[in-house]
Amino acid sequence: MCTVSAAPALDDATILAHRAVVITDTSMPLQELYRIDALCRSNGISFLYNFCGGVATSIFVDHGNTHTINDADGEKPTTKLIQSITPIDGSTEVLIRYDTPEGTVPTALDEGFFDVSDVTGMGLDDTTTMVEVYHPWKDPAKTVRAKLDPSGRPDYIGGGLLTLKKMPKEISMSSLADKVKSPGNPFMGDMVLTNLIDMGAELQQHVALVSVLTFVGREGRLPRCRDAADTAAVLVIAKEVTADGTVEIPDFELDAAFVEAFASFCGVELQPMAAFTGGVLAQEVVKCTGKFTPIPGWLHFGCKDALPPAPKEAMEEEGATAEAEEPSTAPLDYAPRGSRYDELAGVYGWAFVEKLGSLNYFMVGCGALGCEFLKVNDYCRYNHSHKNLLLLCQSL
Amino acid sequence: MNSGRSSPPRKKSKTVDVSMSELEGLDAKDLDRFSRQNAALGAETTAKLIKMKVVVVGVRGVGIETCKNLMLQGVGALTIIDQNPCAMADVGVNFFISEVHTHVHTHIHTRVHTHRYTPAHSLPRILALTRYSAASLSLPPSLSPSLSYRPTPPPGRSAPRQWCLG
Repeated sequence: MCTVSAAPALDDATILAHRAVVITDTSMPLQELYRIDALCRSNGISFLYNFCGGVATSIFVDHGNTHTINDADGEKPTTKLIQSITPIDGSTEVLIRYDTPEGTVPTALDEGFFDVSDVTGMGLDDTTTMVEVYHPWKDPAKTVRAKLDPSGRPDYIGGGLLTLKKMPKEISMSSLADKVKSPGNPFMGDMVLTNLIDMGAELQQHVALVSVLTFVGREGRLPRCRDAADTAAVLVIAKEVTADGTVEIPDFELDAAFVEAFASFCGVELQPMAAFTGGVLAQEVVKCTGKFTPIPGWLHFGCKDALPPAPKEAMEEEGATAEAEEPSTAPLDYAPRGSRYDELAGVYGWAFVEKLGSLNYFMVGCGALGCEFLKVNDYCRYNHSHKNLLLLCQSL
Repeated sequence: MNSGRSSPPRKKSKTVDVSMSELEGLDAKDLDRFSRQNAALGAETTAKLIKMKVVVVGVRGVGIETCKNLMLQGVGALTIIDQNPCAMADVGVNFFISEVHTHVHTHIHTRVHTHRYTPAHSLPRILALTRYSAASLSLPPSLSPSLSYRPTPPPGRSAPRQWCLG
């Protein structure tokens, strides 16, 4: 059973009636987002925000002050075979010698809670007992000490399994206002590391995003696509927010080219990026249930390299021959034509979009993954000549 | 090796038992539908998910993708909010909005422009995603004309086959 409905506006009553709020509206100013986040936090509602613009997407997750993670990784619990259980003299602990079952990764146990089962002897027959174990560095390898009082128990005879018991873990997440000011560091684990090629690109994107949202708050609209004036305005704001303490990142150096590239396409939504983001967002909603570890605040993902080269760079690459005609055709190439491919062409130009549309494809299989590909294929291919072809092959 | 071969069936039957007890109120069809998801997330996660209420604000590309994924994962209740009139750009990212929605809705007799479609009008199609659930549709009065939404074929062409709706 599922109820689907549309609400006329986002009022407090609507928010309070739900368990999770997902905001994908990019034209919402920061102050309004702060307000909704604060409301969600005080009522135990998960707050998820996404800004998807151009080839960059940013996700913010806040599950509130107390969020319980029941299963941090979704992995199958580690299992070890017990070799022996011996009492440790003068203590209320036992030493468990273990071995790794064949076909599993021979990891060493460090600490945690484990179920002891299938043991013969020790008074543990036909029972499952949970013990807390730890491994002091002086102890031999493949052993753990378990807090299990051996006094009054018979000797260990044989058998036994150690199975990791996943214990619920409570974490506290920061509010949007805090995370905008100090977003964390991708190398410290309080922001998702998404870019290993351009070090610190996540932080640049954070500043660019805050600047764009500040721009939205002032102007009441998003920066226009490829608009020099709007881009310059966002860059000015970016310098402001890093200087006046709106965003505090230690040892931060603003990359003006990055912010300009972000600002000039942030008002455009591209379908492939939206598909990826939608997948991540829905998965984050699932994490409200306590399965898996949520995004620790911000996830900034961008693929700057997927952007076409700026006109100047393109001219340099193509040499002097293209120089004469390039400037006159360039603005026209990006102008909207009242088509559903306007935003795609705004980023890549009509020449590219038309070229994409004239390709012939042969696709085999259209299942869960194939149908996503089919969709993106349709949403990116401008069918201007009706010559393009998509052959689909799927056994029924 | 023998123990390795014999263990998977035993574990499988165990999982089914767990899902049966935890997914009370779901029939065999639903259990079958969620079988892959239960294998990946665990039945207890699905059980919590089918009770969860989610509101999605902004139904453009990311919004509709999120709605689609949440519906297919079996979320309990979904509310969508987007009051911006549909534009051609929305047709390029929201796969449940068609060109029809970018036109101003005009009353047949009075010729009065009653309202513009919003991305919230992708609702009937979001509903159609899960044919197993007897989903209920509730719209605020201002949006109610969307219930009469029918994809009108362009002039001179026959109506397209609605294969995507199953």
